[in-house]
Amino acid sequence: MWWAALLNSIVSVLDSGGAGGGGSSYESIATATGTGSSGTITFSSIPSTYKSLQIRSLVNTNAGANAYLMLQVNGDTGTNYANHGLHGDGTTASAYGNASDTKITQNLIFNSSTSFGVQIIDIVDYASTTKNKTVKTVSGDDLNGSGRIYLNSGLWINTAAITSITLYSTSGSFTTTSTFALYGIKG
Amino acid sequence: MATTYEPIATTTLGSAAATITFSSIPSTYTDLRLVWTVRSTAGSNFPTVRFNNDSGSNYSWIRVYGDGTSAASQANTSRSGIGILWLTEVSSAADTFNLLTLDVFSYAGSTYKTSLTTASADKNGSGTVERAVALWQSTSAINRIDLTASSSTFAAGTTATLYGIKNA
Repeated sequence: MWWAALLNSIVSVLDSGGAGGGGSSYESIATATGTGSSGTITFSSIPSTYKSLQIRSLVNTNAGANAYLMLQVNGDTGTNYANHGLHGDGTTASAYGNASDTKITQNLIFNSSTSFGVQIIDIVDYASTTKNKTVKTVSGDDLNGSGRIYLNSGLWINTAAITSITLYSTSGSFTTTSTFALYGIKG
Repeated sequence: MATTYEPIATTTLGSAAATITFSSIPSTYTDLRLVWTVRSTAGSNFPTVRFNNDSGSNYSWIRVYGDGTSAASQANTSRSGIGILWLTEVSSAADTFNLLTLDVFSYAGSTYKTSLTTASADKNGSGTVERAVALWQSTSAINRIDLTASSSTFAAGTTATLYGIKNA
């Protein structure tokens, strides 16, 4: 019947989010900005409805010295993390590994008022309750004469779903120009 | 809901060309992502990326790379563009294109622009994988990106797509 087909097509358009097409598979969940008085950023109450998470961040500190950016999940400060990394400083390619650690090292944030450390952090199957969680990070900082590029993998040895992610600096506070954006990717 | 990750423009070369340009880039996103599959019409092609048609000595980058035998790191300072990877030639590894990505953070902001690049080139016996962090020393918003061959041209079939990523 023609009217049934018409109604079905209208419902289909409404379900897809409008005449412009289907809903997005890559969604912004939350954004945080540095305050200048804290070296910690936490994304909490992360919904379990995505397949993967991605954090894209642009970071600087007021430490007056280089500082490391670290990652923890679900408030876990125990020795439940492992980490491997490859980095280059423009002269030497180096590799490192840490076992039974209290955090996952991301990258060195260089002391600079004009350039920023940047990170793309990916966690697939973050909401799984049967898998330990693997974190992949590409990050770096370039100051036109110094800096580093990093490729890191990290492991959180816990099968609990990730509901919060904390990024913190080992020194100083995140500047007000630092931004951290959490995205969810649907499977 | 506003689209968080969407294509801004895409180009596929029907014939060889020396430059691919994305212009009039809107300032409404947070980050830009360029995904580029490319090969060269001849050897010794080390393409560069420039922003806003700036060819001054305002670019630098640090890369770590491996070639199947060893890993190394290299820095370049005060250059006229961001250099990315030696490209596979059309005369070798038939139908094989290199995969390059460029992520530009806060491209419309008022601070210097930092990017992350990845480059992958494998020819089944030779090749290179590379990761780099790059800096453009300009506080201007990026409204144009040029991909330019250092020598020869980009081969037909080369495709470049620019995406915009918008945070909450």
